[in-house]
Amino acid sequence: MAELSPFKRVKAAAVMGVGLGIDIFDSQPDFRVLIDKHRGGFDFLEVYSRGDWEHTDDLFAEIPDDVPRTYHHEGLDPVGPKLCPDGPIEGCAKNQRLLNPPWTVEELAVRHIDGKYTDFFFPAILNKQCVQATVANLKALEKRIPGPLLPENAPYEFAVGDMHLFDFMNEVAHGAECGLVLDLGHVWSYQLCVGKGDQPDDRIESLDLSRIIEVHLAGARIEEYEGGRIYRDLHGAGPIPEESMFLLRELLPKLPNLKAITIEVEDATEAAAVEQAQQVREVVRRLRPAWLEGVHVS
Amino acid sequence: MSLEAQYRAIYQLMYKRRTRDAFQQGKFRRFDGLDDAEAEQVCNVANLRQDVVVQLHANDIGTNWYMPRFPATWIALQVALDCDQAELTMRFTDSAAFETRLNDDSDGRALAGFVDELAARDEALKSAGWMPELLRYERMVRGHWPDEVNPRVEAFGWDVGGIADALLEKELFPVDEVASSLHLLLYRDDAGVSEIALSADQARVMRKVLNHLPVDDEPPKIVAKCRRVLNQLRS
Repeated sequence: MAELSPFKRVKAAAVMGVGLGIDIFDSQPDFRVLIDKHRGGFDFLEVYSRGDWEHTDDLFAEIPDDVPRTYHHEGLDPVGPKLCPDGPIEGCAKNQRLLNPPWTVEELAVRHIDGKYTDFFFPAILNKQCVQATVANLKALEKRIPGPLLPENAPYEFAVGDMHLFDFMNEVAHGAECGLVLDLGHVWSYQLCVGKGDQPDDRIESLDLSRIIEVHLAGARIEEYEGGRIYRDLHGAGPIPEESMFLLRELLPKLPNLKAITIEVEDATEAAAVEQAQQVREVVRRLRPAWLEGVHVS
Repeated sequence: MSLEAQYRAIYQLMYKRRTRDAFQQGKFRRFDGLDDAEAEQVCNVANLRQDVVVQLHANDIGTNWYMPRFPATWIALQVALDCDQAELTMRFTDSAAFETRLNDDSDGRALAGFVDELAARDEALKSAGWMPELLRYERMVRGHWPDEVNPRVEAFGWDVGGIADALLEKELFPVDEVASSLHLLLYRDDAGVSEIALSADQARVMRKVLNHLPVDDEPPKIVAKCRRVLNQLRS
């Protein structure tokens, strides 16, 4: 397995189905309640640890072995000018060992600039330099982290650089030989930055859709100002925008290697979380029913 | 050409108001380390949209980082400086103190530096001389102690407990507050930090008890009370 590229490894993974992205430290939704009371509402959990990779052992141990999981790390800063410090790398490897996920998600963003923590994910600067740095970082990380990484397009509130997001993602995926997570809300956030907010799927055909292994959906809020609109991630604290659902409907039949759809539900009640999963599942049942065969929820 | 310089420029546009204002006013044409193409890319984002994003994030920082942790100080600063949360955050992030934060400044060290800077030079804070002590109190109640001594007696130069109550419970900004000592016994366990108000005499005796010093010359009633309180806390 070790000689296979990250993309080939994730491509060979089983379909996970429709899952919920939860923060392991949140009391709402409480992953234990989701597992105990709502197990029929999701196929897997995507486990996020808020950048705190040190205090996860006991909580991870509370996830029963029969609950499939993926892992969402934070802190590798793959689009940064150089490789991140050892701590986040070792933390990621440790948490992979604890969770044994088929892959690990990491934002195409930095959370530190000059070592200073920022209040949000600074998304990738969209230019060739950043592509080169990102590919180099991902390749270096591959050597140190046992499980494959899946980079995710981060949310954009303003975009810096002369490349289109989809070109950037293609070059990263091909350069680092990896798959991708496509966050549909984040796609729309980018379109809002470049004046294409009314066409969430603008230029989507230029994206190498065969690289998309996982799709993310989440609640969001839109800030309007006199010059445009700004997408703000709310995750479970808001409804999934229609534009994200539109993208899901558009893309679902076109993603040959799709393995997982995750609804990020941090801050949602447990009931609201599974309701959003049900909303997405209905779209999948209608447009791609065979994809759900064999996953947990019938 | 440097990707690092590009991120650094964006960081400055997001958090350093005076730098952003100067850039948008044309006081300088490019950030350090950028070539022509990079400078143009950065220039393209320094616009109204980015200004709105800065405001949104300023509110996020206040709402997510400081209001939940140090609410009395955060509210008091807005009143003292006569500004809203976003404005306060932008003044703060522009300061050198903001750069001393560890991660999301959960221990409040950067905010403390900012408050100290203000207290030293800002007229608006002259009428709120209790502000640094109020923040020290809130940091200690949150469990951010300068050392691991536990339990501990802390003396404050103002009635910071009362000031915090006024701000948070009564929504009143303390005016003409007079300095007065407040002694607290603080005890930290898994449930958090407990605080017990002590008189000056009790505080003196409590320190001796905690440091295993002789208390023969202290009033027996106070000594007994101190020991009783400690036993209750630890049980």
